[in-house]
Amino acid sequence: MAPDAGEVTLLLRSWTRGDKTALDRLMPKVYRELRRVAAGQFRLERSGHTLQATALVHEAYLRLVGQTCVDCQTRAHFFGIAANLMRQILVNHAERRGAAKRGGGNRVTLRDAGAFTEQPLLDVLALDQALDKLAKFDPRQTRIVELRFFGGLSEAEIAELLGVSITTVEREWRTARAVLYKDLSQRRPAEGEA
Amino acid sequence: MTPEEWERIKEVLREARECDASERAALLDRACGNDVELRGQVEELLASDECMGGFLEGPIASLTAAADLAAPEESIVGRRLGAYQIVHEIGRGGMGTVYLADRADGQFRKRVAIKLVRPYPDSEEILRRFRNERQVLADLEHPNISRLLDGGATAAGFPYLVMEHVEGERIDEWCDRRKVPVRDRLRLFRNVCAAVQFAHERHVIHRDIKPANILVTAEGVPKLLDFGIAKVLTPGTSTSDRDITLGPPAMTPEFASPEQARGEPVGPASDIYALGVVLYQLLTGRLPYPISSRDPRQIALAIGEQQPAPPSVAVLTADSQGVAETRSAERGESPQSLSHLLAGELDSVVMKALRKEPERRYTSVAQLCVDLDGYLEGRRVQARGESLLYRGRRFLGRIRVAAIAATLGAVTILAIGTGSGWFQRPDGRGSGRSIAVLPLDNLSGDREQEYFADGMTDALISDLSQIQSLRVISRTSVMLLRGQRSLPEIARTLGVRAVVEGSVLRSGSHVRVVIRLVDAPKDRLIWSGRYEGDLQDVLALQSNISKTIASEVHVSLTAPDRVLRNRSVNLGAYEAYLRGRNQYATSFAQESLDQAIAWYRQALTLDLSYAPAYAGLADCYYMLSSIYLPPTEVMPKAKEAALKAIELDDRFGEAHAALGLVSSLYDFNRADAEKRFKRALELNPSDSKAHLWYSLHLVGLRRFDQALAEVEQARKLDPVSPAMNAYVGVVLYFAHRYNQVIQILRPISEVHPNDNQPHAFLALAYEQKGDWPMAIPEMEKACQLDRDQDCLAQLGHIYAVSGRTADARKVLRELKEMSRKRYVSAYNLGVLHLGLGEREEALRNLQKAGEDRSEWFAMINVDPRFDELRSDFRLRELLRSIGLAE
Repeated sequence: MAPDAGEVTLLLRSWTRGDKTALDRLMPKVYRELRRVAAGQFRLERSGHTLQATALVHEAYLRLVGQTCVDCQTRAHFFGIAANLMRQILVNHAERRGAAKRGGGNRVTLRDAGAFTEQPLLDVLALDQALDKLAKFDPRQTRIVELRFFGGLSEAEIAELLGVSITTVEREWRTARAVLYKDLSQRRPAEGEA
Repeated sequence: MTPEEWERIKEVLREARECDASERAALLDRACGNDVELRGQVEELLASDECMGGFLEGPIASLTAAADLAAPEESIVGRRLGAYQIVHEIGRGGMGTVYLADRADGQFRKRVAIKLVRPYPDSEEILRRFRNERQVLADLEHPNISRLLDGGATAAGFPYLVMEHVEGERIDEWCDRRKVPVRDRLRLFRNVCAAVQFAHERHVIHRDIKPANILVTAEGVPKLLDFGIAKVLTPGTSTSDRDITLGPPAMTPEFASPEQARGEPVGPASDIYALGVVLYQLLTGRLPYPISSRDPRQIALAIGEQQPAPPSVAVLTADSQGVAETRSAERGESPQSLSHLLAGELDSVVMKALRKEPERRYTSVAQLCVDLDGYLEGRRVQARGESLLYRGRRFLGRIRVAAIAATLGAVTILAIGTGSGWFQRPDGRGSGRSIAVLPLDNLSGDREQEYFADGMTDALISDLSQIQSLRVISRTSVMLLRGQRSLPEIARTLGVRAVVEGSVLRSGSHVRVVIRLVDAPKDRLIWSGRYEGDLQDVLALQSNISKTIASEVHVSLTAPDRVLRNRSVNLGAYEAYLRGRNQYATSFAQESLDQAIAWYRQALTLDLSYAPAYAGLADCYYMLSSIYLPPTEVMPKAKEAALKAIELDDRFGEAHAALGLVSSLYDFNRADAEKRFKRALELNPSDSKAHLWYSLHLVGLRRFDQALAEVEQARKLDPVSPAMNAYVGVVLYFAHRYNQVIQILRPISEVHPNDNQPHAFLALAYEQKGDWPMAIPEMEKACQLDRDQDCLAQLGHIYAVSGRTADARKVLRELKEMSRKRYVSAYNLGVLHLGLGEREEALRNLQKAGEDRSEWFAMINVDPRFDELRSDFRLRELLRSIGLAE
């Protein structure tokens, strides 16, 4: 278990009980842990390995909260926080890589390894920008995308976390995807992506 | 954009998504009015819906630099990997990049293909699995398999696999480019099967069979690539379960079996499925169903649910992948001739390999090979008749009495009436004549034309059946007699004196029919005629034959007899209809019915007002109901089709019969059912199926004597169909006349021990008598022969009431397990719960059975197993609420 384990569980509980300050203390700890797990992964990546973002969040969760915590609420909240942090980590990483390789034309991309065949590569930074844009007029949809895509939460878990019905989550998720898809596909040719 | 505007966009978007595509434009007009901006936004999002596929749907699993994935060749081409020198890239697949390489250690020169595995989470694991599999894969020495030679890891830790290099072209492209005809494609494919079979015998499953993995060499030899690779590259496979492993993360959705797409364990049956898809593609030039989404869940759903059109239907239509003419030209045929070639046996072979449930596919590649060889050598194909027994049982309106193989006269429970007289009936009323039309011989020398000759036979029977004063032996009975025995014997068996026999020769659009009318007991020719004409006039020709026969047997044609009416029909529609009918009669397996439906639909696209095709559809939908699909899904379709047929031709008896059945079993509208059946039989007195269906209806109403009379009528029309005798036992069971049931079914079950229904109803009768030592083994035997839901529920009930509660619960679990995969009637669950003494559960299930119109529910008032529940006010209330109270 990580050094912050135990404390994180307590903070999560206080936060779910309404203690706003708990979140401020919680975020850096989760972020640190995610980075720590990710750092190892990124090193591997240079030798051709991949970074498993969702797996990373889960691993951080196990290290910080542990399997003993069976409280679903706590778990959902943790993933809620971690999903947002994960997005930040990926974007930071992509920016650094982009800076290092500028001129080489390589952008950092996500690949959906769960799919069966070749998927068009997805530009992390472009997605991040599109999400920021979406957040301006529909913050809830942005949140759903974070939880679902970056945090790997199921629709049911998201519904629980946001206190809305699953149908709403499904509908909003679909619309958010359509908005993002539209945004990304419109910018794609301009940036000459394959 | 303001928040209000965005909300409005979402609102309209939601409505637009919920409505039919056809109504979308109207909805947008209404909702957006003149707001061009709003409409533009909504339309753009709808367009995204259409093309985004599985965008963001898969969980984000990996992050990596495009450079690392896209351009590894810079670092590897020209370099050495172990003993191999990389020459250049050959291709890319879901799992990595393939390079051509030379063995460079100077010992000997050998070209190999090296697959460099895509950056993978755990290359150690891959190498470990490779070492485990290595010997098995190295042993796969077969002329049609490209072997795995070696494996290792690059300095950077990428695993790689070394394979025999095959110089060749993809099998589908190779065939299309050379315009290889169907038979030669089958021979080629047969070799592919041999390779797969060889590997399966050594417990190696391919798991990614597709045309891209089958190359044909310059010598025309097919070689299967990548055997065992999928397994090596799949995480989480242990070494012990070589036959069944978890689905690979990278498969090809177009060729993945339903279980593979669901991520379930994959066995030889998945390879058989993939072979089916390859064969489908080789024969038709297209895939069984389009897979548009890349979202794994959508794909699993599509593969699990979509019913492919039979190859013979698929080749007639264009789709996004190409046009019918080009595809058939690549096979040296026209779309029509290709369709004819595929219809029947090849359709059956492909559809059997493509069945959704692994256990219903070929049990081994060897079995598939037997059928392919059978076709190539001109033998009959197993995939076809699922067994006579199965057909018979479906034919009987599904009270599941086994038809017994056509051993004539082996069991004669009710004496079969003998020669009812040429000019008068034995009862002396003198108004009846009886006749049998034997299957017309197909003289075309082309077995593919058999459907046409059979269709002609069928049409004659059907035309003659409409003559009021003529008793015409049903199709089932005459088909069973195909090619058997002498005419006098046949006449005796069928109880007729007049027999029509003859032949059909069709060449292109020219048809010649020769008909002989024979006084069968004396084997004396009464009359013969020869009809020639164009296919266009085939209906007129048929009608002429019927009229002549009628006048020769001295029955007067009364005005309503439709024989006199010359319908005009689109020729293509007529042919498609005949094929559908032929398919329907071939087997009542689900895919056979699906094929029949596809043919009938084809007929209707060519002639929208072709009533017989609608009636055929109604029959098919009914046959699918309950056994394969929930009644609520198909019975409304049956009703719609029957109504449409009647609307087009009110004098079409078959349609009235089908509608009667829907009214009786589904709508529970018994008055209407009565009316429909009477009308059907008035229009078509020789329709044995209508008599049987009517008897079913009567049983549900406790009118057992009338039901028995109807069965007797049906039996006279269908004297050879052995199921008829057994069917009497079913009626008697519901009439609570158990001793008679036993008396009738006991000898049948002994003579035909492999038919499950006589055993089942015998057991049910013994059960009611409380004779467990007799009941249990009989029902176990029945279940052993066919473990279907009805049989299981019956067995569970017997276990329960005889005190073997643990066994009963086991059966209940099996049924519930089954219900996750396919429709299981709540009626059956209710039966079992009641047996276990669980009244509440039983009533709950009955409630549901009533709601989903479980087929057996129409029997609830007479089913002896519910006798104890009948006084329960809750059941009475339930029956009252759905109109089944007595």
